[in-house]
Amino acid sequence: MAGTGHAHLRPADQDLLRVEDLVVEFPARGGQKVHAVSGISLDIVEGETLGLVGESGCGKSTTGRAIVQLPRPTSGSVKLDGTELTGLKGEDLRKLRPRMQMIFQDPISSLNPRRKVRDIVSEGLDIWSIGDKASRAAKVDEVLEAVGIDPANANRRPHEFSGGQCQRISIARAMVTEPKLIICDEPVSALDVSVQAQIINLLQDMKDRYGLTLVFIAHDLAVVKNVSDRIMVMYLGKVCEVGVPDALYQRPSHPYTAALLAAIPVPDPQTRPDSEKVLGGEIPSPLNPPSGCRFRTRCPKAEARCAQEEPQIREVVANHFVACHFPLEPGEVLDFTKAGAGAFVGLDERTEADADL
Amino acid sequence: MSPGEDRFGDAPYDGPLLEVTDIKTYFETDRGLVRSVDGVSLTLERGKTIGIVGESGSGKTVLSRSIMGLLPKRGVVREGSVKFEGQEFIGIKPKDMRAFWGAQMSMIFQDPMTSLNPVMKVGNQITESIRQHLDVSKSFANELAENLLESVRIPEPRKRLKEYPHQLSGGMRQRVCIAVALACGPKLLFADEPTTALDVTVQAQVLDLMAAQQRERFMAMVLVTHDLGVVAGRADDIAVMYAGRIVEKAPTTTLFANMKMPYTEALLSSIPRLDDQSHTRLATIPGRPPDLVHPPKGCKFAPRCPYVQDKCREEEPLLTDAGGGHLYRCWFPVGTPEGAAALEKNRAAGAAPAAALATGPTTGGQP
Repeated sequence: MAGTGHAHLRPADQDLLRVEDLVVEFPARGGQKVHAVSGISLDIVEGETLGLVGESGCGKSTTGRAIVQLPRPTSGSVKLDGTELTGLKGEDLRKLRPRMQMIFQDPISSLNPRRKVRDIVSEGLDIWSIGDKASRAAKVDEVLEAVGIDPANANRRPHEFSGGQCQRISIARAMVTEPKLIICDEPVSALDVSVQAQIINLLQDMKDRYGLTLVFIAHDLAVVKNVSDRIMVMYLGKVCEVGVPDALYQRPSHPYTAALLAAIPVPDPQTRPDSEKVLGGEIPSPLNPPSGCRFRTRCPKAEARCAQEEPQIREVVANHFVACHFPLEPGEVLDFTKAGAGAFVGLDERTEADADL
Repeated sequence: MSPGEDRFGDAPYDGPLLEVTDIKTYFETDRGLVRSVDGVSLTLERGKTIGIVGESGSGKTVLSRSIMGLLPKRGVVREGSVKFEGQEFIGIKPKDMRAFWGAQMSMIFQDPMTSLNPVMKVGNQITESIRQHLDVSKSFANELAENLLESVRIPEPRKRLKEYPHQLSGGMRQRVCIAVALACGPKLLFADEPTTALDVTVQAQVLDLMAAQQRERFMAMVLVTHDLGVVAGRADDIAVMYAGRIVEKAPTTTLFANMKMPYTEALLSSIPRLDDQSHTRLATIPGRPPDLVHPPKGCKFAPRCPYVQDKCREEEPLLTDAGGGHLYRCWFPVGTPEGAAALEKNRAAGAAPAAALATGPTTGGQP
C-alpha cells in the first residue's frame, strides 16, 4: 500500500478542501524521524463526509490535525476553499480558525471541567465578538437545542453530564461558529454502542441541517461505512484505497482493507470467527518504515516487487482507487496465515531503499 | 507443563465450576445505597464461556469483581452465594481468597496500559504469581514465563521478559496480561472488556488467542463486554444485564435467533452493520440507564422501552423460563402476540418511550 499519487483527486474547482502530498514528520532521538504521514493527498467536496480509517499509528489523526495546521505539516499543501493554509501565519491563520473545527475522542477530557457548559460553547463567539451578548446567548441556546441538550442546563459543568451528553456539547461547541469543515477524531470510539448510535445519527442530522462537510476519523469500519460518502483507508502514513463505502466494502481491492473488514466482530453467532482471515503481526515502526509498499511485511500477496517499488494510486473500477501492485480480484479470499512469506524477498535491498525514504 | 490434563483426575467436585445464586452488591454513597448488582444468578460449567453484555453502568463489571471478591473493603454490601467448585466465597476473608486469586481464577482487565506495573519487568510480573502459588525454583519459573509468552504469540519471548511494559505496544501488553492471568493454569478466567482498548485487527488476534488458550487448558471464561459482536461467535451462553439484573440469558444461538427482551433487541439494532447500506439510520435507545439509587418501580427498562405498557411501570417482571435454558424478564416479550400488540398499541398512540431524549444532566448513579 504505501501508495502515493493523485489519481483519486477530483478536478480542483469542485472541492472545499484539497490536500496534496501532505507529509508530517516528527523529530525522534538520534536524528531519526517519525514518518507519521508520508505523502497523503485527499479532497472533499462541500457537504461530503470523508471517512479516514486504519489501525492506531496509521497517521489518520495526524492527517486530521495537520489539516487544521496543528501541527504544521512538514511539506505539502492544504487548501481550504482555495486558500492555502500551510503558508499562513499568525493573525491570517487565526481568522480562518472559526471555519474549521475539531471534535475529539474523549468527550469528558476535551471539555474544561471548571467552566460552565454555556461558557464552553460560547467561547468561539466571544473571541470573535460575533453579535451582542444577547444574540450570542440565543445562538448558544440554539445549538444546544439542536444537539439535544436542554439549554436550561447550560449553567452546569461537564461532570454533571454523561459521556454521550458531553460529546453532544463538544459538537455544539464545534458548530457554534458555523464552520465549513469539522474534523471528527474518533468521536464515538469512547462511547457505548447505544450512545454511539445516538451520536452518529446526530452528526448526520447536523450535516443535513447545516450542510456541514466532515472528516470522520475512526478505526471502526462499520461506523465509518455508516457515516461516510467516501472512504480512505490508511496504513503507516500512506493511502491504501479510496472509494465510495458500498463499493469499497463489497469489493475491497487492497489486501489491508480486506483484513480490516475480516477483523470486525459480527453480531451473529452463525458467523464463526475465522482465524485465517485475521491479520497477524503489528504495524511496523514509523521510525523506519518498510521500503516499497509499507504493508508488504504483513501482506500474504507480497512479492519482491512490493519491496522495491512503491505502488501508485490507480483507478481499478470507476471511482474506486487502490495503491497496490497486486489488487484483489472480486471474491478473492486471502489466507493471512501465509502473510509475510514473500514479504521479505526484497529485504536485502531494504536498507538502501529506506535511506532515501 | 500441562495444567489442563491431570486437573480432573482427582477432582473431588463434579458439580458446575461456578454457581452464583442471587448475588447482590450494593455500594454505600452519600446519595444512598447504589444497587449495582441486584440479585443475579448464573451457573458456569468447566470449559464453557459465558458472555455478559450491557451498557456502562449495567453492573457487568461489578458482578465479575463481586464474584471474584475484588471489592473495596468498606462501604460495600455483598450478599447471596458464590460457590466455586462447591466452596462458598461470600464471607470468606481476603487473606483466604489469596489461595484462589491467580491460582484458580484470574482476571484480565480492560486497559492493558494501567493493569501492568510500569516499574516492574514483564518477566517478574509473570513469575510473581507462579512463585507465590507453585513450589518451583526461580529458574524454572522463568522458563515457564518464557513458554507462556511464546504461547500468547509474543515474538522473542526471552528478550521481552527483561523489558518494561512501556516498551510494548497495546496489543503486546494485553498479551502479557493474558500470560499473567494464565500463569498458574486457572480454571476460571474473567475477561473484563479485554479488547475494548484495542484496534479491530488486534482485537481479533487477542480474542482468537484467548479462545485457543481456553480450549487448550479446558478453562471456563466469563467474557464481559458491551459489544454483542464480540460475544456472538465466542460465548456458549450470553447474559444481558440491565440496571444490575440479568434481563435475558440464553445459549448464544437461541438468544440471537429468538430474543425475547426488548432491551436485547434494542442493543443489537443499535450496532452499525457492515451489510447495511451507508447512511442507514441507526436505531437508538432513547434516554439512559436508570439511577441505581432510586430505580424506577416496575421494569427497570420501562422508561426506554418501545413495548412499554402500564403494567410494566407498576410491576417488575420476574425471570421467566422460555425453555432450553432461555430466561427473560419481560411482560410483553419480543416475538410474541402480546409483544406485537403492545408495540402496535404504542405506535398507534404515537407514544415514544416516556423518557425524553437525553436532555437533562446525569444525576450520577454509578459507583
